[in-house]
Amino acid sequence: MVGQAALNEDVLQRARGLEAEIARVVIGQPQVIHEVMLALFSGGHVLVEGVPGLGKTLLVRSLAAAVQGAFSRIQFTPDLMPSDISGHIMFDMKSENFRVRKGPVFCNLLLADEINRSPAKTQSALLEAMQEQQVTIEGRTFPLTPPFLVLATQNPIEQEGTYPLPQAQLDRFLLKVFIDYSVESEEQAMVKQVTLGAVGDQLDTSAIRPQLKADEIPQLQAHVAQLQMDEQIINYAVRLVRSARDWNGIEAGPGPRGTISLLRAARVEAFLQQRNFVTPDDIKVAALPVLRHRIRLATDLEIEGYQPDDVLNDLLDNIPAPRQ
Amino acid sequence: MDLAKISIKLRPRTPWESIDLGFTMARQWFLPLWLLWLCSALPVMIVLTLLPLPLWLAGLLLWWFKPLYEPPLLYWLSRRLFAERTSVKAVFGSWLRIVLPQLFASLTWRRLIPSRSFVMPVVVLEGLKGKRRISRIGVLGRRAHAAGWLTLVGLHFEVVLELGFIGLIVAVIPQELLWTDWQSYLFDPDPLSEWLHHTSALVAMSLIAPFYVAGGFALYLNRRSQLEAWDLELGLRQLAQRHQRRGLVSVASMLLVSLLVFGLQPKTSQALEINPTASQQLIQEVLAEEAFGRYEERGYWKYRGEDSDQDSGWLEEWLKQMLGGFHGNLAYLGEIVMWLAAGGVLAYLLYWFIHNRTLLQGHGIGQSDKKKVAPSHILGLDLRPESLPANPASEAARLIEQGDHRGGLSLLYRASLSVLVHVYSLQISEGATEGECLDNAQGFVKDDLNDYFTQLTRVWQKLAYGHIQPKYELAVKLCQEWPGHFGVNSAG
Repeated sequence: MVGQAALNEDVLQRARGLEAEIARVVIGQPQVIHEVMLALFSGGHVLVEGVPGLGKTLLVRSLAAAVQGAFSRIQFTPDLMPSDISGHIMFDMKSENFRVRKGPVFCNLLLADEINRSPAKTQSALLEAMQEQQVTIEGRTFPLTPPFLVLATQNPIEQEGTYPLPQAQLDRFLLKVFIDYSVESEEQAMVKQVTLGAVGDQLDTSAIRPQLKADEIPQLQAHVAQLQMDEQIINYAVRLVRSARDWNGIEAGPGPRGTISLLRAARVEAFLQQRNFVTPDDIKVAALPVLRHRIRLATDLEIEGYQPDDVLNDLLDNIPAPRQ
Repeated sequence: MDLAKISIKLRPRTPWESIDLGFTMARQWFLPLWLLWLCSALPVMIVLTLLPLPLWLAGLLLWWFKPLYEPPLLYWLSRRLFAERTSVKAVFGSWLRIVLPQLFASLTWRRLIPSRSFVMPVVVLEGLKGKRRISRIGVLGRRAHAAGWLTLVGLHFEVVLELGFIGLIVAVIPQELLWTDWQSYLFDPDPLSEWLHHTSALVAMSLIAPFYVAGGFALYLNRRSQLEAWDLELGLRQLAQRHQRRGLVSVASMLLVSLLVFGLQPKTSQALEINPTASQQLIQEVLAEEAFGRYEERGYWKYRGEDSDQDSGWLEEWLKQMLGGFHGNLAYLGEIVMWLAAGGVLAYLLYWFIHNRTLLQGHGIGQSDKKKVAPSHILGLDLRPESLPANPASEAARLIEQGDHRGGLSLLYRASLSVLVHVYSLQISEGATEGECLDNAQGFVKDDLNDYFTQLTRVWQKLAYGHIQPKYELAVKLCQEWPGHFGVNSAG
């Protein structure tokens, strides 16, 4: 077990500085970067919802550069096959042997663009890899190299001809993050920086200074998992999730995996806030991205235009924080 | 008028059969009838277009002038029925002679008479006016209620057709060329839309008019045929012709035929003037003869009013009571059901309101303000001033001295929150965390107090959630500084 003592303070500080480093390139999306950090250090995956052209690829490329990890991108289409993700075995005429050609899933940071454009079978191939951290090709199992972070995107518009992820599949994502347009001044700064000296559509991530090595991430994840968590905090998270199941306006609430994810994300939040213990504030910060895709609103609220975040905020305001 | 050349089969018909006959005639000769109507109406519409009239008035006038367009149709029909070939052009040659008689009356006080189609032949074909016209209509008009129904039904069909055309026009115009929307087109039309309405009305009227005029004319023919025994006359004529051809005509039969034919032959240009009393007597005599000895009995239902003189039986009385009571009971039952339904709806609304009250507060989803104002408990801590000791700082210091850091700092933090809520009126929700309390306090309190509260909160969080006990000196220092920031008595 890699304990707190095993990691020197330098690694911890560099890990905490990762967010600021990425923000130098991905301008105007601090919330998104922060939430991706929660997923990275808790070993989870992120579902990003936002219109095209907001910098999702740039974000993952920057992250890959900052942690010196391997980056892959898959554009999900209706005719994408599971083997296009996981890889396949091919016959090598030269050596007269079967050879495994590994798919793009063998990387550290994977951008699964428009995941809902592919049928359920293809989605399942990726979701299985996310869950099991391994891939099976023709009966042979290949473990994925940690860290393995999937950042899957969904387009909130153009829902025609898509295959929406079912609730059970959504549950496999640790967080659901909304990416929206940045404010004018930040957009101006971003455009200026991206276009300076750039040719064509190439994304420039050269400004990113590597903060961590990819093999340090699993150590950090283990460190975060060891952070102190009071019994009252666990009780608070459980009460929060259980209340969400019976809360007015919520038709289907989160399961125990939601509570587990909430505590995992809260630990990272405490780590990023330079604390070695989790407070109720960390739970509250993590609650929205962790729970928003795990609840289904009642029809009348949906018709009235309420979002899951509205109901969750109401829940967070009304559930008493831990008693001490 | 030569009855022998009539194009229809003369026989006694019910009014409804007569209207059917009229419709058959209209179908048979639709095109000339339609053209005749349109040729009369189109010039009127053009004149109305040129006149500086409001569009709604022009539309109304177009409809109001209907008696101007219908007589040519009737005239043509009356000629065509007796095999007289009259061209549309010939009718228009004598248009004024046909239309002008009694036009003013037709366009004013007689315009809204429901049996217009039925009485029009009296004016147009018989040329009667004044008392003679009224007397004639009196004789013809008995059991002429079908003409009223013809007008009513025709009006409805006309409206349906007109609305259909109005809708059709917009439906077939491509979306890119559409200059208005449905609502404006129907209820707030611009001049172009209004003219399209009037054109639709013109087309609808032109399609219905031949049927209307022919239906009324058939009713008129049937009535005259009944009164003047045209069918008998025609039958006898044919009988006579058959006998003549066979060369077996006897003097007696010739006399009889001649007598009947000449005795019953109507004046063709205008109807016979019949004395009702004499006619009645004559009819009774004729009916008394053996040839008319057949009687038919037909039954029908007719309301005869309350029969109070007759003493009805107990069964009838009981049935009346039951049936009468049934209606009363039904109404009473309906009233009860209505009240119950209203009560149910009210109860449901009340239940819904209570169940969804959080949705109705603030932005729909949110808690009530009363929870934000001076709550008694936050974070599970009792914030009521009476629950705190008179000097919380001294009491906290005493607890810390005894080694109960948690108890001492908990008391200090609780007392601080109590002062912020009750003295500074800080609004804190029930589910607020320590961090949110700190955020809320910023801006409410002075900087030095804010710094102190921040330090206290951090120390308290470390102890409560991180199980990290502060140094003894720091804990004591917080207790000592507390009265300076929150005041000894302010919390008590």
